Amino acid sequence: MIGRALGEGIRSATRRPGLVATLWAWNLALTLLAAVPFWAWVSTVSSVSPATDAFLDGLNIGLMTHLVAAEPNAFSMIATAVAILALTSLLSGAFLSGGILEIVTTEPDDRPLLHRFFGGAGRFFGRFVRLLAIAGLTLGVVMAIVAATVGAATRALARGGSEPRALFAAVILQVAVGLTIGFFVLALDYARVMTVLSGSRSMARTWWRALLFVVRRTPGVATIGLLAAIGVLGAMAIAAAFDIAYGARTWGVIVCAVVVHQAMVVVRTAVRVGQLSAQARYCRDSLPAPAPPAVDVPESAPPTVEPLAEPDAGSSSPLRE
Amino acid sequence: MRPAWIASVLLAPLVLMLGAAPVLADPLPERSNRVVSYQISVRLNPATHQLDGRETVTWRNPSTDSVSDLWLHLYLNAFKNTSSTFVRESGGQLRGDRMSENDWGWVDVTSFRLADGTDLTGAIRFEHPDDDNAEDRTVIRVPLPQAVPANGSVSFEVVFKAQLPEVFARSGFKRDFHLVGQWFPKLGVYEPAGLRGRATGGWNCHQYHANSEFYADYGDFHVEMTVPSHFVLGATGEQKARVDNRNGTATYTFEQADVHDFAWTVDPSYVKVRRTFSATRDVTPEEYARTAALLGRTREEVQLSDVDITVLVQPAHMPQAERYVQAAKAGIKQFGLAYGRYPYRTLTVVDPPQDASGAGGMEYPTFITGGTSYLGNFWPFDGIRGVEGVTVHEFGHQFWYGMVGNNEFEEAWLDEGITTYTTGLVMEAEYGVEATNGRMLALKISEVDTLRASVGAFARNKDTIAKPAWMYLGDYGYYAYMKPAAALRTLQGFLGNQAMARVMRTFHERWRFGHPATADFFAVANEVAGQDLGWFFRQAILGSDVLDYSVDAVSTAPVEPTRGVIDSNGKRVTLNPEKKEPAKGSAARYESRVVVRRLGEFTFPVKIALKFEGRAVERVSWDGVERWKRLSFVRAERLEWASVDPDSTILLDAVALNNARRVQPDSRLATWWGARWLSGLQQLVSFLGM
Repeated sequence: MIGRALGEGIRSATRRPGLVATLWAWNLALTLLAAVPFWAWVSTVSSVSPATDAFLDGLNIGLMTHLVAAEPNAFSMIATAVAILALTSLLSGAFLSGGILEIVTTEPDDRPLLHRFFGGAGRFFGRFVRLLAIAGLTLGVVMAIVAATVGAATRALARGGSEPRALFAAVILQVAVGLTIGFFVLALDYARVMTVLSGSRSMARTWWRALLFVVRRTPGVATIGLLAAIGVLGAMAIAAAFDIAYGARTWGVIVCAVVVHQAMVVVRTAVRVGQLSAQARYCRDSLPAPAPPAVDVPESAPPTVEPLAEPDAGSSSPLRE
Repeated sequence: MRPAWIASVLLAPLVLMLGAAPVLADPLPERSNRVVSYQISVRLNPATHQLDGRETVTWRNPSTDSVSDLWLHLYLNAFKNTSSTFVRESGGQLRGDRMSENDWGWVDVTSFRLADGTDLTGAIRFEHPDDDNAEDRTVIRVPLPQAVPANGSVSFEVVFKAQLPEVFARSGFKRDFHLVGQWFPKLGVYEPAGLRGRATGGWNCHQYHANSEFYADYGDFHVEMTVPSHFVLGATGEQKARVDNRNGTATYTFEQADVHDFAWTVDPSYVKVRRTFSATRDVTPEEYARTAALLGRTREEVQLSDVDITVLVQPAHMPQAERYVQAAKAGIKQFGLAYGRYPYRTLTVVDPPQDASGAGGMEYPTFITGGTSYLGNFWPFDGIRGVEGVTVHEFGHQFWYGMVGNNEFEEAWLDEGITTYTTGLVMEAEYGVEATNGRMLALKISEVDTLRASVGAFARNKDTIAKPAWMYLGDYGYYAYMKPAAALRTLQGFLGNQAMARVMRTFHERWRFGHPATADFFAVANEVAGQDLGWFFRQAILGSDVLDYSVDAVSTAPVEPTRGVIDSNGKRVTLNPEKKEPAKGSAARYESRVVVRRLGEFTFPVKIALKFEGRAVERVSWDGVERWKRLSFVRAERLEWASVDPDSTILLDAVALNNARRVQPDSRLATWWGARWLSGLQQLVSFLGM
């Protein structure tokens, strides 16, 4: 089952260049809104100042401090832009996920790619925003509980002044927090998948079912999630290694670095498409197939296959537990 | 600002006009004048963290005055309650460590008797010479029934009981770890008239402040410490004896002469690492020869001696033990070569537990505390030279505070600033200039970057360096440590490495086992440099002006042929009645202009570097006094860029980014950073938004 899901994921990641390109372009357009002011500011500060050339060889804390001290407003403006971008990204995520899932769950489909993409994105946007709010609220409550319980346990472990134990306790706390966030991120993915597969409009119920799904099928869910994370981290590591290995003294290296970084973003986007596709397949395969519709179908009528999309009728869909 | 300093600085030109005397090597004094003698026995109760002590003190009057009272420090009373000057000023925290609200510290004098048995306990009075805080209990005055005559002496016995606080500011305990510093009733310094610019003799005995350290007179210490026998002990000086008592305790005897303080530590979990610094194996003949040549001293004058090094390491930090050892050896070697032999036979380096870091990074004679964390055992954190930096810095204090015993209360820059400056030089000599203070992943931290970062962050706050430590408006760390270091680096750039090395060597030699003031440093610098540096010291040390030079504008443009009329051979000729294109190719000429500005009030002579196409960098000098200077050139080559302080030696420059300007903009950095920033934001959007 996992193998089939991963196969599906890899196929989606590698055979949907149009979708990947669309997502990359969307990401780039959104990001440029915050990146251009930064670029303009750096250009103003650095283009006529040879002193800043030291930054081409890497971070220089002495000059950086002078930069921050000289331009305090620029940094607060940049921080504000990043915060706005982060909030926008959350909403954008609710929009894009619907488009991606629409495409990876409805093949074959003859409609144009962008038609399907934006159709799915628009159809599920409202539900995914609600889902995001519910997930955020739940995560907040659970994180408070985790922080209180694990925090108390690790404080007890760290007591006594042993530095290795204190470090171990800190790592445990970080891991607990990380696992909790990871769990909720994956649950949100599966909740979105289930929403698309079932067409459900009850987000609270879907969220609850997604949580149960992730708990009951942790190995499979974690395998897909881990492989996706490895793919993303691998791409990031290659880009970082390029940065470390080569300074940026020449235009040739700078152009190569820009290409490498954008290639990394494309790979990351493809991995994400593959991950959602694999999750959708895994979700579909993990649950029993729905009973065939109990209606008489005239021989002349075209076959209709809608295995999972039965919204609110309380039918026998396997996704309605 | 002390009036004596002003006089000294103003008189310096007169002295120089009369002719600077040739600089002769001052032979290193082998011993101090030993004004005090302490015989102390103390017992530690590890359960209550209390000390029961008895000290016999002999004080010799070093002045020509008759002295009718004694002033002593009771430093531990800084932690007695929230009304002490220390807690009022610090708010109960120091260097990020907070004071415990349950474990107060104090010291009570239960008996004070002269050697003849006269009981003066009832005559003890608390004093608060620095502020109006009558609740402060860190200074006492004891009137004597009979004045101590000039060069006479007095002996007295003090019985005291002290409670160590939970450590947050240098001294105290954490579980079984104890760092016992500033723990015994300790005499202030009787300064004769003339010393440090004093008009009349008198006691110098300040309260314990949040931002101040200490000041005491040289002498000899004989200290017996009784502690649980399974505790590992380290202390100032040499261990003379260990006696195991029947009650499960052991009594250690340590002695050291020619020091002005005594500190000790115990912890059952210490791992003791012992090594020897060898003056023959750890220093090469070439290094001795090079040093002698640089300083203009004989080979014998720069000879070092062997030192027994003991490092008391926390078990969790054992992988870093050799780093402590190597840093200590680096300090003994580099400071010794540059400023004078480390004269003591021992050096003890203490590694406090991480949660007792308030005890770390502190200097006592022959005894220093470092500090590190368990994380430092592992990559990539092991690339940060925290162990090395703090060990070398605290060892540097053996020279600036220890042997050159300035008044840390009143002129903190003389020890902290000079130590920060010289630590940087030692670290660079030992670990290189590129990543002096460490490297982590792609980040390299040089000493120059560290100083630049500090100047960039604080230079505009405008306070002066030379003032009592508790009287800074804020930023004590900048004005006592970093700005003086940046100022001395700037002076080094001005004088040159050799001249500056000789200034520092002579200052150490002349004031070894002495109590110099700021004016004494200025006087040595003027004398050795052979010029009046008052203009620099008035601005950098005594003043608060900001130094900032910038290249304000650069341009280069083809020279157009002259148009108009000229008189030639008695005839008036009209040249080029129609505008012509400038000449091209080999006949082309370009007019280049550079405007350099002084943006701050601090004036300093600067070098201006100019780079023309295809030519080597040219330099011109500017005295930096006027507000701006314009340079014009007509050359066959176009100007590429211009720079003030091209060698980056003016570390006091508040804004380094405006020091150079190029004619043609270069957008490589903007493109590179823009691309990376874009990529980073794309990661964020990908994570949150897909």
